[in-house]
Amino acid sequence: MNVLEKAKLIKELHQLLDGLEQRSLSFFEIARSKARVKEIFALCDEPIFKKQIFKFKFHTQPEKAVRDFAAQSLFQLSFRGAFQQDKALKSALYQYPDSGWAILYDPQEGWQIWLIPAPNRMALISGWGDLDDAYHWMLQQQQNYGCLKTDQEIRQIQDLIAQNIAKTLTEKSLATSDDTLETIAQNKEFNSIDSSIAEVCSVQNSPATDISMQQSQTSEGSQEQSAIATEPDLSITASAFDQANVENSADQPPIIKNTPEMLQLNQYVAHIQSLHNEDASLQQLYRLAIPDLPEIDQYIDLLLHGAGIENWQHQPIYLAEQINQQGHFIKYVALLGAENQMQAMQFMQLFNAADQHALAAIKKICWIDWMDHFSQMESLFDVYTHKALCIWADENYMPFIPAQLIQTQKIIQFDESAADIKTPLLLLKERQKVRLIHGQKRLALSPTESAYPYFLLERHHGISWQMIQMIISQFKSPIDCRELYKEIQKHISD
Amino acid sequence: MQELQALIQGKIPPQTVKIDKLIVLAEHYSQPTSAEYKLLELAINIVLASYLEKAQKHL
Repeated sequence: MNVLEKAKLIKELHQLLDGLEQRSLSFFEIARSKARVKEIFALCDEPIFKKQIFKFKFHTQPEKAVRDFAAQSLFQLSFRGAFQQDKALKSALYQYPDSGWAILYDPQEGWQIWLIPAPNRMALISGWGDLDDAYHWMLQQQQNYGCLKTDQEIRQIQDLIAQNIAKTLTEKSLATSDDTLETIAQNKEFNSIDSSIAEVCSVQNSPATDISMQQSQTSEGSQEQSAIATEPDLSITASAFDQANVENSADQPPIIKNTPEMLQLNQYVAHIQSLHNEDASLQQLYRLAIPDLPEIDQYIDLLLHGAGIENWQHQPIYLAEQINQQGHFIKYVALLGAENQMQAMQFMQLFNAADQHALAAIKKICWIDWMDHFSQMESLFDVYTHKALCIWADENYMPFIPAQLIQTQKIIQFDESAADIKTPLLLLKERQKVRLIHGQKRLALSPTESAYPYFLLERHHGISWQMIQMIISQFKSPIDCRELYKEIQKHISD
Repeated sequence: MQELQALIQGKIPPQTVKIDKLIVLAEHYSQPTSAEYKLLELAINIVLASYLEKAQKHL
């Protein structure tokens, strides 16, 4: 618009506002005047009127208004959305506890900005008021804490990570292809070699090392209704993994391009596969599949943080007990390549969220202690129980023991109180056997579970069947598992 | 033009500026590269922004 057009709009606005404020207009005239005011706002969509237009847009297109506001900031990639309920805001903001900011809107109070000042800290909250003021407040906090990376900084880091992974994968791919060529040369007839080599070479030349940026829009899930705007578009790095994972088939899980990219896990070769989860891709989280150990899928999921692919053996392996919403044990989850505990917890939760599973506990263990123990459930349970260090556990955490380790025949017969899914078994370990003291009803409740919550007593701690019999005889029937365990513990300590 | 200078310097509030006078000036200074046009544009933006602010409550 030129200055004359703007001057005429000023005059028209002046007249419209005068009519709306000073004169008694009919409903039709009021509606017509307001409609024209909105048209004038739409005409004034220039950066110079950003502040005024934002309010207008917020009335007419709230999602776009907030998205545009974030896009015009320096920190769009750290923006977690705008909300009308603080609960929804907290959920979105703390989903990525390292950093981020979000907007809270209240029709009476105005605007607030919530900002995470340091990894895993509670958010700082601006005062209520104008959004520009709140944003100005956020910039001041940014000066104090340096807690947000600008979009440009994040993109540089993502590019660097993608380049490193691409480089690693290219080196591995070349090595793999060399081996393949050698095998082909040994096993194929001479006249078929040329075509096989050509096939392998074409695979090798597929764009596994291309790095591209892709757009991803995450949603707030159940919080969508309360959110006045969903999360903004996030530009994320599509690593070489993502690029390669485009190809897929129904019979074969997605893998890193046609020639599988691999990781050597002790004597086993693990294939790196996509999780088909936008958030997981964003965080470079991948599944490891070991073709020589297909049975381990029943009791463990192996995950890899792509950014840690070069150094994973020097980082702790994070192990978790995964449960469903009812509290049933699903399987163990092992995460390789996480840089720290908080990142491990974040990735574990991210992985579980896709299937609405939960975690009972997370432990960590060094690769040397774990490398010989992931191929068997019993061995895995043993190192998880005795060598791994707990870094987090649910408030009411009960460890799980694999069903195949338990001798389910009850030695001492007595009446048990009713069991629910969270009722533990009470077990006694003698020599190499784990025998059932209390838990018939718990086992009957769900006899096909792969692992059960448990208390474990051990013979070499001075416990005998006679002692247990004597303590049981002092109880009135039916006997509660936790009370019996507590009484036996008390008896030992006395 | 002195009034516009005062407006830009914040010495007078935007809505005290005579709108008809702005229109006359805009018709007169129509050359976008001229200094007068630039000055007028600054002043008109300030006035328009203030009216848009005022119009918020009628949205």
